[in-house]
Amino acid sequence: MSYNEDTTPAVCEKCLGDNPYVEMTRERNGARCKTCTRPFTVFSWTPKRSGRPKKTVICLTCARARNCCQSCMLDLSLGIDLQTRDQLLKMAGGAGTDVLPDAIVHDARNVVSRIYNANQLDRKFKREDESGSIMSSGERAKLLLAKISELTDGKKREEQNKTEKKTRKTQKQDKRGAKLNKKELLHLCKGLPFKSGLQEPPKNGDIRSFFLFGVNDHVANYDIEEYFDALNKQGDSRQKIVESVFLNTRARFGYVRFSSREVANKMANEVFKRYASVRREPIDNEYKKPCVIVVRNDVPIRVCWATGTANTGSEYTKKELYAISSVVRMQMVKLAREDEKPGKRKIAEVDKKAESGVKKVKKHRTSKKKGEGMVYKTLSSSFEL
Amino acid sequence: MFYHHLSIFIFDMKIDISTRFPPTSYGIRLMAAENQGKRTPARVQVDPSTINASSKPEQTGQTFNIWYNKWTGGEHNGRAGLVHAKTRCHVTRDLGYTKADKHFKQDSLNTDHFFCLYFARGCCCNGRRCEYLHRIPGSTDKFPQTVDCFGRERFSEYREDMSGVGSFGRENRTLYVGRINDMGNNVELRISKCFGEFGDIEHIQLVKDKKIAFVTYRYESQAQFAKEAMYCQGLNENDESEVLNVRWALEDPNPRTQKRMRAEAEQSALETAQELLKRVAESRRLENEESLNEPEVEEVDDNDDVAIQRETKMIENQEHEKPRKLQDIISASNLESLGRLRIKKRRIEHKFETNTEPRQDLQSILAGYSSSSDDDTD
Repeated sequence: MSYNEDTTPAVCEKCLGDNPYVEMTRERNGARCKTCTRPFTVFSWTPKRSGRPKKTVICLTCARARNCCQSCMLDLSLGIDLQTRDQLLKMAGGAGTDVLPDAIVHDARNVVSRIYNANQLDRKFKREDESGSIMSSGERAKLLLAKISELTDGKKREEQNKTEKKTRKTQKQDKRGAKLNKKELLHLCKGLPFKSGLQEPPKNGDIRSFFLFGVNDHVANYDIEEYFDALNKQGDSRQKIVESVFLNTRARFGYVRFSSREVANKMANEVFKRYASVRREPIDNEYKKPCVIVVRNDVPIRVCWATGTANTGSEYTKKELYAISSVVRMQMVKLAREDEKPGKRKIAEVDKKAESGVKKVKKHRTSKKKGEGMVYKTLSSSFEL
Repeated sequence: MFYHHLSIFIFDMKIDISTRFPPTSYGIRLMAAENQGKRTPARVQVDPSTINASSKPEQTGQTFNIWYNKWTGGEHNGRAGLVHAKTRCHVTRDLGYTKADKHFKQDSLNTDHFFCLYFARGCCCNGRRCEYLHRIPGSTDKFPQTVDCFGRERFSEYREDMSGVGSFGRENRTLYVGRINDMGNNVELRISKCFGEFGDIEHIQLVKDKKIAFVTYRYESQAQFAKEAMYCQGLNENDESEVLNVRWALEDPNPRTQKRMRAEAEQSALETAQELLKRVAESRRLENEESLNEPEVEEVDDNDDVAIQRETKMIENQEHEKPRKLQDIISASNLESLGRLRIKKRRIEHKFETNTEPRQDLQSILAGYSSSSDDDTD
């Protein structure tokens, strides 16, 4: 048996509980360690009176190598889980060196090599104990936290640079799908109602879904669900109003289906009202374009009534999906620009031309670039919380 | 601040913060709705009188293993294949308070009240007298990695077939769903409806020709819950012919997703780091205030000169050793010990009576997270 394995477990205070007089039972070779599979001394205790008992699940050697609690496997000095800690160590760099002695432990797949590694560690720790060169967990935490604070400062700066680069990158990516001609595109977009609005409920009474477009990787299904749930202020919130959500993030569109047609009608009104209230230009009930909702991560999404047959794009190839995503992008640009200057026909005409061929999109965008930057600036200031 | 370049156009329209909502999770919303109205007790899902504790499952093998409540041996070695589950959890109907909710405050972090496994399977016969929670995991339920949301111990490795409780090695929020009968007919929406009942779905991926799907949840505990709740059920409740096989998913090999996952992991790690730093700063501030408020408590030893010398030495050493960049963290502790030193000196000059002083070190800063076995000298 190794060093003081028999006398004290390495357990964090949270696991020990508030009671300063903890009673523990000890069982030598009571179980096999969950990581190295060797037998170890199991301690068990009850942190809360009449609560559930706790016990150590990994051996002291494994715990010490990872600097974690033997019972909950959280980092002893920081109280965070090991994956996050290792991620931070990796990002901070210098893990396993003199600066940050915490090494990231990788488990071997083979049981024999696990046992071997653990034995090696045992020997190493024995040597360390004799030489007395152990770092206390407090010191470790200090060092790691110092590194982290450097990191977070650096990351902030990095991120600012990144955002500019990324916008350019996304523009490049979307050319992948732009090789199809108009006919093919039109065929692909069958059943995707880019032009319907929210004001006119469809005649088919069975339809209770909205069509969404403009979604991206940063939108999760629950974002959409939460948005509509929050819109539905009154009413029985125990009943789910959103029945199901489907997002095709590659083609950047999706559907949301409500529990009933009444709910869908109500939601259509709510979304429209909300959209009308935040727009700079007032809109009336004649407005027959998709409305905008803004979900988490500030992603704008256009919403309108779905058609009877929902086209989920599941039969399409990757290339075709990218083609649709470029159509979605075009529609978003077009709608945004129409909303911006509703009175001016010229731009609408230009957009019509642009719609006819995807190739022209690029030209279009470059010509507008100057304006983009300006708008963006005002944006960032108004969105800082 | 996200880089969706279309936002540029759309954000020109005045959209204020009021268009966005604070994040919640389905479980929490359900709980809130529950607490707003009259709280209802958990429903008894199965009549207790119908349960026979000693009843064995249908004989499928030769010998009965009383430990696992399973048959082994025989032609199929006790494995009869997947059979459609007899009961099913209907969250909105069955949810309610139990004994586990007794001392539980809303919005507080739950780390030691586990969920009822029988509730998840739709066969809890205790109802409100159950010792476990009868609701859905949400953002406030965070359990240690070593156990799952039902309190069962997890292992370092997955089982070979990826079934079972799972591993604490990595956070897995994705479930594999196999044996889907009908892949047409808006299967995405059907899966979303079915699995969405047990948590917030992040996204759904389909592999049409293999008749499988991958469902990713927002929190790991929700995936754990849904795995138990949907095992051997059908997408359509009344369809007995469909028996879903729900297991843990392997890591997604798609480079696009992997890249996104890596970025997300980094982001969340940074957030945790910032949270930690904030906590440290906060507790340090409190400590400083305390030490300013009550200097009278502090008193000096007989061999005080030695102590002072030691401390000055330590501070000097610290300042020499640490590089400049570390100052924001280290300097605070330096200041702290300098302050203490000053007070001590003053004490000696005024010749006050002596005693030991309360120790304040990083252990206490990290409030309850550090081990008691380490003795960290200041």
